[in-house]
Amino acid sequence: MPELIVENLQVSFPTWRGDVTVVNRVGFEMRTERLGIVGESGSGKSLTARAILGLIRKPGRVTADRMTFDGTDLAGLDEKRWRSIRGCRIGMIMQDPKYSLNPVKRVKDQIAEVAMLHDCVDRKQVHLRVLEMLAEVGVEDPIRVANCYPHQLSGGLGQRVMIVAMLINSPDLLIADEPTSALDVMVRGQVLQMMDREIQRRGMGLILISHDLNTVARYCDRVLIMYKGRIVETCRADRLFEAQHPYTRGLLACLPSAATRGQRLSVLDRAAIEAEAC
Amino acid sequence: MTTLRTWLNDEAPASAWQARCGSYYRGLDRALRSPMTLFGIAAVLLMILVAIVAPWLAGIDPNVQDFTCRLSPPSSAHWLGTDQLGRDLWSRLIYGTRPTLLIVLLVAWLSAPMGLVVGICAGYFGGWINTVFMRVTDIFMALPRLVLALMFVAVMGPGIINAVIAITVTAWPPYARLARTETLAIRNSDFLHAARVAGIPTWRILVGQVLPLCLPSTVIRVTLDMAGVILTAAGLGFLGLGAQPPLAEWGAMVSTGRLYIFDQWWVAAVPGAAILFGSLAFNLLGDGLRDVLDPKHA
Amino acid sequence: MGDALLKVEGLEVFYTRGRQRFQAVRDVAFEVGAGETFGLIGGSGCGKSTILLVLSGLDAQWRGAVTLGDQMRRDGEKAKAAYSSQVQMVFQDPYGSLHPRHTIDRTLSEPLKVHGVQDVEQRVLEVLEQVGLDRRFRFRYPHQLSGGQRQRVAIARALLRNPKLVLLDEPTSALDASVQAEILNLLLDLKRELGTTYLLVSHDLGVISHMCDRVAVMQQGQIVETLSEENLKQATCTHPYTADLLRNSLYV
Repeated sequence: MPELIVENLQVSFPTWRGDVTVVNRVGFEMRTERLGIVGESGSGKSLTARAILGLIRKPGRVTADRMTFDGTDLAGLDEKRWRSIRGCRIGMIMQDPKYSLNPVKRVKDQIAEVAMLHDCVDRKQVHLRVLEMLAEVGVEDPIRVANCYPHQLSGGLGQRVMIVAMLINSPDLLIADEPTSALDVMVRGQVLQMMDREIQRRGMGLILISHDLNTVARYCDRVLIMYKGRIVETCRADRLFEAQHPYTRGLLACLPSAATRGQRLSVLDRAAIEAEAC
Repeated sequence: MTTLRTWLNDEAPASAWQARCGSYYRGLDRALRSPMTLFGIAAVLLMILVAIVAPWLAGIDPNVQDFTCRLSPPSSAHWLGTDQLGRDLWSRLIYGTRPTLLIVLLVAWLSAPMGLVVGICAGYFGGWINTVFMRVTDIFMALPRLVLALMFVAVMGPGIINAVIAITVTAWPPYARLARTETLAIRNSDFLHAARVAGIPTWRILVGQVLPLCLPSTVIRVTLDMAGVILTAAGLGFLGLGAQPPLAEWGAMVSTGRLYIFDQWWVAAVPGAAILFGSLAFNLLGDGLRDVLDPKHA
Repeated sequence: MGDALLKVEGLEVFYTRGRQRFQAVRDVAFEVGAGETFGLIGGSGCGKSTILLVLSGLDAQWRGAVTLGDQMRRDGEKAKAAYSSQVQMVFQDPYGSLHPRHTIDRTLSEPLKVHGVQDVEQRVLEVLEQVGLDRRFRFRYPHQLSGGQRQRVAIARALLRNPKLVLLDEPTSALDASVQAEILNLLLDLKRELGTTYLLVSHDLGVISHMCDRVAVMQQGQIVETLSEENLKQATCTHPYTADLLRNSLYV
């Protein structure tokens, strides 16, 4: 996978109280690895991903010292050049397939559209490819699912469809923004395992954004922890539970489990974290 | 003045009354910040003011006919010219605010609540209530306004009030449809479930929880419809069913002015411009009202 | 744990969609002791939220018997005032369970006014304090509050009339981890203070293990197994579906 380099990324929005910086000096590099970004809501993790894909519209402002993918500068691209990157070299799946899929088009047409936008291939061939890939991602009845409308699919099937749509052009990088938060706990594991398998098989990179530390620890190689727009800690996924930063330790400590039964859970001491972070 | 403003803007109001005043104050403040809304409010207030002080503002009797200067263009004697019977258009314009505003406000006042009640009940209760109410709505929507108005006149005689009733009877169905749609959208919301679990009776839920959420779209729709109401009233007036001559009513003035539009364009253009101005004012007011009613637009 | 506060026997719930009849809950029976925290866990569509709808009096098409204290309801009977006053519910979505156009004060005082409570203002201030919200939140609107604060208001609303049983429908699944911890702490504190019985529905095994004394595992409308405190600690079970659930939950 070609290298993605982000240096000093800042995203800000103007408000009547002045500019609010929601992503502050974020920087990282990645190749063929699975990178996790963890944080609470409002930490800026989703906006970081959207900034990388140029999805932040005015009046939001995106600046970066460097933001390149395979040598191409992502910061100054026009819409035409973006189209050759989005869906083709970098794919993105979001939280709720109900909202990411067009409700009035059949699944097979939507996926075919993504494929044909980038590769002028014959429609029949594309449809065959769609069925093939649906089977690969674990859909039991690909023909039935391909002919469905999005509202007829369960959450898990919907996300599998999204993954097929994003993988059909064999991109180099997949960004998954809370891909399983809207899913049932039983289905969650299946979808994540399937995604992991596909990514490893194709030698792709993955940026997995989540608020769930356990998910990220299990499915990523490296983890970035974000708090209020900044990266407060970077560590290897298998060392996540030995993290040092008070915020990460705080997040780990506030998880409920059988071991904490009947006791008060520790709550983040935000004052201490602010002091440490700044 | 500063103490009043501080009291209104207090972060921690001590009573519900203070909180409500503060909320309206902030809503008004927001509405007034938009130049469009400001224009709308000012224009509506102007029309109402003109209607009230008409006798003093007009100067000339609107019904005095002078065949020597019929269809004369604007001049120093007649600021906006005269119509086909030699009546001063400026004066008729001023006096015309009264019946026009009366018809528009009465129709809005009567048709919107009717539509809201039918729509909210149909949407909330569903089942046979929904079926019956919606079929009744469909029937009324299918009735042509003028035919119905003719029926009314045959039974009750011509006049403004009867025209208002005739228009109301055909104006309420769209509001019912709108209210039903909005109600259906929120029917399964958790806050309504929570209200039921808390033991709040159904009528209170409908009035206190469902109605406030249906109001913004209804307000916008009402203001959009006002221009149409004026023209319908004009049509009725033309058929002799609404404002009876010699009453100065803008719609009726446009109807009679049509005959002279090529050579004496001002006879129709003057009341036409007034209708345009009035509709625009109500539309902008409606937009501003919607912002005031929605606390989220803060 | 005292005697059974809530007894559910032979509960069956069905929905009709057009001409199709769909059974959401089949022959479910369980008991919840006074002061206990009882959990219901399962995948989506297993019927756990449907049971809460029946218990709270919101759902009508059901068969079976529900006994709360000394009030019994049979076969779709509507809940009488004596029943409803003993049970309250906290909903999942803090963004959806408060009316967007009502101030917090109105949301909290309306149920009190409707039931003829005397000193409404005092009670509202009392519950706000109990859930840890400052009185300056009283006249704010929901959109001015964070998710955690809204959920506190929802809990305050549930406590207004001192119910014996509080139904919690995934109360923290829409919240961040640290906010979830605060709310769970609040629920524990309230339980210790007021001795309320909780019936907690969640898909999150961590939350269930932390809060509940016993858990019923549901699949396709039926209870397949009930886990005790020991089971939860040791993560042991007998039914294959439960084993699957435990495996899929990354907390084990």
